[in-house]
Amino acid sequence: MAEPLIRMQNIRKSYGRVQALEDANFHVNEREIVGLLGDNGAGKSTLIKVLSGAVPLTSGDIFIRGKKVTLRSTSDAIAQGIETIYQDSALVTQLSIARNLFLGREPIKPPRFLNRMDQEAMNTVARDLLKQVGISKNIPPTTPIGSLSGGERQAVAIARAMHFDSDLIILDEPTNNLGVAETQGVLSFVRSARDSGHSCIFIAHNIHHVFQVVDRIVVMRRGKVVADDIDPKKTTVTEVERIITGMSDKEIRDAIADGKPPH
Amino acid sequence: MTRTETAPPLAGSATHQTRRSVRLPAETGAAVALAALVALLGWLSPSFLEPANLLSVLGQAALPGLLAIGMVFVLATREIDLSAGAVFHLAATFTALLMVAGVDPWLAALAGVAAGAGLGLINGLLVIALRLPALLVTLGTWWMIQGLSLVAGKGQTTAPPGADVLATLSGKAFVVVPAAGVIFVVLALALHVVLHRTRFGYRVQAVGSNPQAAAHAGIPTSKVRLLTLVLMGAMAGLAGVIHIGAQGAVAPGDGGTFALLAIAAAIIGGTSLSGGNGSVIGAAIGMLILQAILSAMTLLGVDAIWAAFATGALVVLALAADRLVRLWRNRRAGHSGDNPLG
Repeated sequence: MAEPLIRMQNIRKSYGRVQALEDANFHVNEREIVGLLGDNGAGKSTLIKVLSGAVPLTSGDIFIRGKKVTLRSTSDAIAQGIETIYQDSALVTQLSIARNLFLGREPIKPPRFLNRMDQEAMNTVARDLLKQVGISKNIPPTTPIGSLSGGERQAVAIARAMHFDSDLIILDEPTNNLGVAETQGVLSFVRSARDSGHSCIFIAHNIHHVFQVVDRIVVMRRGKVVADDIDPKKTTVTEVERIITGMSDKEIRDAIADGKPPH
Repeated sequence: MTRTETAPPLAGSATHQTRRSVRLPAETGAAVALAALVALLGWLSPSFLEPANLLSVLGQAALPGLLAIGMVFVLATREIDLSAGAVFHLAATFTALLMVAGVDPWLAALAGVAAGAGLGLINGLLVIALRLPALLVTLGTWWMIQGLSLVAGKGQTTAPPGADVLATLSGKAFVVVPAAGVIFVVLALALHVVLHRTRFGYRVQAVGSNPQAAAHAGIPTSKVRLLTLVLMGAMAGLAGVIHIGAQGAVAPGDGGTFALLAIAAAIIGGTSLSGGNGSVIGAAIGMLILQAILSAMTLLGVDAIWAAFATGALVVLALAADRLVRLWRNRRAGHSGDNPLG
């Protein structure tokens, strides 16, 4: 079998006495959209934070295309081609679209020591990208992000990851708080990211959104990966829900009847 | 470079209203206020408009104005530096003591600026190491630095020999314009460009606007905060050095109001306390407004003890005006203005 794009092996992460991840194993293949599911506290976000360099792992190994890597910081992860798009903190709302696209990677005009940004280059690229993502309608690249809709913001964030040729784009709840039409827009955008050669990890609470877009579903429970090869075409939402909660249908019904949340 | 293909149009993207066609610079409000103020004061007391008086206002605005320029960068990262006035005083005292010890005045001046930057560095390192807001850290270092100044200056006025060499800094360039005023204006313009045209300035705004997004994008947010505090310290140090040149001495209590004046000027100039944006030129205009009013009070025969009250009232007025404009804009844009810092 070919070496996957990303392989995380025996990942442990503890916060003091709390074990957030216990020997989690996870992989993403080339050109694949993986849906990462799990209840609150299952360890999804910790796993993502480890992979995006935001938190250090306690033990375990991460391989990119078979090569072992150490991700000490967000910039390390970005340099390795891993781009994470957090739901609320992907973009700086007060700054323009163009500036957001180049956030952290601003082009500099010569002479370099003056540290001046190349705003023309930024605006030109931004205009192109806006056209590609389908939000070119009368929106100049100097428009502040704050005046875009939620779906457009996600599109800009994804466009940024694609423009900088990230191998892996991690989407944290990209469809939260979006309307139906906007959700469809973002989902189709994720598909086009995959079709142009990027891999994605898609995290969402809405399992139906996950089913519409992903190639493979991975489920986490209590810090472990409990299922990592679910084909959304060959399974049902109910089945996946059962794996997420670790309960049978009857147990779920009983728990709801008892007034206890299923966990 | 890009592998992107054209995606289908994103739903909902056609719902945009046309954007405002004319966007006035952020400094417009402050500039109009300054012009109106000068006209009003000239009408009340024609001697206010005499060039000598206007230039003296510029001269008085220069030193706290340098602090205001640095403060804009600090405020833009959503931080605040309360210790700037104390840094000004310690840098002045340090320069004076070096000159008393026989160090070349220009070398001493350089050391004074470096001392200011060093104190800013200490502030910044504490902010990073303790993970505390600069508001709290500088509340502490303010008193420490002020205490050190008093110890170093033995609580007395320090008047170094050879301050007349540095007096070039306070002398009159082109015969009439105070040199400190020239330095102030030139640095205001230069740092305005730095804030709005360079990568550093852009990252300052990004960190202040959304620190998490900036960090996720790989911007070293701690380093950016540190650099703004170092810049603030260096500006306060430079002001302290110029003070030695201008006054020939530093007395306990000099610059005691500078930090708050600098914050007030920045706010009057349109810099938001919630971070993300700022205007260096606006802060410079804000300082001119403050000094024009303080100077006019003397001309109009108002008792000088009202100065502190007037400064505070101006800050409240500027905050209120800024808030009202924002609420009005938000209402026009159809957003709810529920963020009290927004």
